[in-house]
Order: sequence, then structure tokens, then C-alpha cells
Amino acid sequence: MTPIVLFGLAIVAVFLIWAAGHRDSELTSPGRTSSDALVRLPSRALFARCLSTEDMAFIAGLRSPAVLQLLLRERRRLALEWLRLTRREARRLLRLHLRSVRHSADLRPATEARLLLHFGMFVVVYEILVAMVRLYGPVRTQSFVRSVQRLADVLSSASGQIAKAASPVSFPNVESARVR
Amino acid sequence: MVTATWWLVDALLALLLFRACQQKLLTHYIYFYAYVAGVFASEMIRQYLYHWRQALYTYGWWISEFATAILGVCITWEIFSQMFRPYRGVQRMARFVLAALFSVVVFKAVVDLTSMPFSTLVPTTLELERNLRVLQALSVLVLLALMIYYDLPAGRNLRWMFLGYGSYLGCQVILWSVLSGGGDSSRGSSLLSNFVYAATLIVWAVGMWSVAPNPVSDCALEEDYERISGQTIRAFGRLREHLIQSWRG
Repeated sequence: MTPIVLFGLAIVAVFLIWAAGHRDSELTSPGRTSSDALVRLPSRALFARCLSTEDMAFIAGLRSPAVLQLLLRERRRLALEWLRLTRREARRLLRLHLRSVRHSADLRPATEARLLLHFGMFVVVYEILVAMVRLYGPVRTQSFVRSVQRLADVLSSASGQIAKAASPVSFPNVESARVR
Repeated sequence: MVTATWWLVDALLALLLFRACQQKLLTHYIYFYAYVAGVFASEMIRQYLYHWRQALYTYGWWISEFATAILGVCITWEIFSQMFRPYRGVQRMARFVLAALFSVVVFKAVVDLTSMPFSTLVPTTLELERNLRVLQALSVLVLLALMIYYDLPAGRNLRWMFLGYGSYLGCQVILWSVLSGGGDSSRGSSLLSNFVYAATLIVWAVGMWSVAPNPVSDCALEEDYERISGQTIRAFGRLREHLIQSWRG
């Protein structure tokens, strides 16, 4: 057993012991109502208000660096809190699912793995956004996300055009060779 | 000192068996006490060989060491059967993961045995024993992970059984790795091993002092599993989309 594997196992064990100590086991499985299963999305309007440029313009007009600093700090705090709300909702959904299905006899490892993957993807996006808000603040994070989106759109349309240009009609020799 | 720890271990094993008979724990945790009884019997044989048949002691020690390593599977099985009895789906998942782990270890041992000459069988036996311990440690981690993930309740007996065996396996694996990294099986390591085992037995004696069965949670699956899973996956998708769209503005 290599020291790296041993170290990895030790970390997993410590994490599991920590998680076991922090869980609050409920004996009753939740009576899953249709409203529980609905996603309770945190308000987008509230978040849009948090990023609005009007407030920034107003405060900039006051020419007070201290007030501007305060506004930026508060916005960062609010953006992080909004992100935490979405994370809390994701955890609620996962817990609701796990407590609902733990008695199920036809639990499928593949479905459970897919679900965990979806949760993992959400966590990755969440962690990236949290790190960016912490480092650059919500306004710059938003402009970064927008530019990434624009770049993704450009790449997507470019790849679509390439795919159209490289259709089998453009390569008659290849197509005929395949037929042979 | 080593002899004193031997006697301490024997006394603790006897105490565990005595309490099991007195509190009728044997019927509740039959695999666990099969392991305890097996280890107690092997300890008695070792004591006998050490004092009266010195020439056979080394063989006896190795055979009993290997036998107790195999008997250790009983504890993993006990935890597995007690923990997942009311949860058939989770039990099936745990069985699937454990079977995969076991196959990997057996495959590795078989490959090692076929590629080595017969004269090197003793080191391979050592390695098989170490792999068995590692396998059991991994099994305990898998069971613990599933218990936490599905939020399965565990009674006092099971929690302490987990704690004792988990810490014992952890120490044992570390000890094996340190020894294989350059040390020899000296008197010091034997003493340390005995101390670790005595500590484990103390943990078990505390946890298994009286019967504390697993709390039974109520079964309230009102909907189809596929439907619930589909709903949750869609909900995650919506949440992720909401998260990204909000930032796009």
C-alpha cells in the first residue's frame, strides 16, 4: 500500500467521520408532497436589483469613496447570500430525494449515480461563481459570465457552420469510398 | 509486557463473551460474536502452543492470524446486515459495491500467486492477509458512506461496533504499511498491535454492554422510484439553469 493511497484513505475516513458527526438523522421519512418536490428558486428580480447599475451610478455621483466601498461590499455579501440560497435549495432537494427513496426496493445504482452527477455539476458551477464573486465582486463576475456566454455562442455558431460546410455532399470521394 | 497485553486481550474477549451471554446479545449479533468467539479460541490455542508446544508456535501463530483476518469479514457482514435490513434497495447497492471490491482483491491475489514460485508463498499469504484488511477497511468506508448518504439511523451497538472495527483496521493498515516499508515484525510492533487490539476490545465492551438495537424508521415511499428520481434530476437541471441565467442578466 503506497503512502499516497494510505493518505487518500485517511482523508476519506476523516471526512466520513466528520460527516457522521454532523448529520441529524430523522427517523421519519418525509411525506413527499407535490409542493415539496417543486424547486423553490430564489428570486431573480432580487438578484437583478443587486446587480443594477442605477445604484452604482447614483453612488458614483456622490463622489464618496467610503460610500462606494460600502455599496460594493454589501453587494458582494448579498450576491454570496443569494448563491447560498440556491445551494441550500439544491441540498434540500437532494435530502428530500434520499429520504424518500431509502426504503425503495428498486433503487438503481446507475440512476443514483446520475443524480449525484447532476448535483456535482451544480456544485461545480456554484463553487466557480462563489470564488469569482469573492475575488472580483458580483458586477465583474456578471460581465465575465456574459462574455463567456458570448464566446460560447460564437463558438457554437462557428462549429455549426463548419459542420454544415463539412457535410457529406462536400466530400463526394469520401462518401463514395464509404459506399464501396 | 507483551505477555501482559496478551492476557489483557484474552480477559477483554472473555468479558465480551460473558456480557453477550448475560444480556442475550448473541442472538442479536450472531456474526459479531462468531468473530469474537473465533478470536478467543485462536488466542487460547496460541497461549497453549506458546507455553507447551514451542516448536509449533510459529505455524500456529500464522494460521490463526490468517484465520482471524478471514473471520474479520463477519464484523463487516454484521454491520451490513444490521444496517441495511429495512432498506433493500440500499442493501443491493452496497452488495454491488462490496462484490466489486472483493473481486478486485481476489483477482490481484490470484495473479500474484500464479506469477510467483511456490517457495514465496509465505510472503504472498502475508500480502493476502494485508489485502484482506485493506478490503475490510474499504468495506467499512463504503458502508459508512452509504449510511451517511442515505441518512440511515444506527443504534448504539452498531455505532460502537463501527467505531471499534474502523479504528482497529485503520491502525492495522498503517502498521502493516510501516512494517513493509522497512521495519521487521519486532517485539515493539507486536506490543503496539496488542495495544491497538485491546483498545478496540474496550470500545466494543463499552458499546456492546447491553442491547441497543437499531431504531426503525417508518416506510413512507408513496411514489414510484423512477418518478421521484426523474423529478429530482429535472429539479437540479432547473436550478443550475436558473443559477447561470440569473448571472447572464
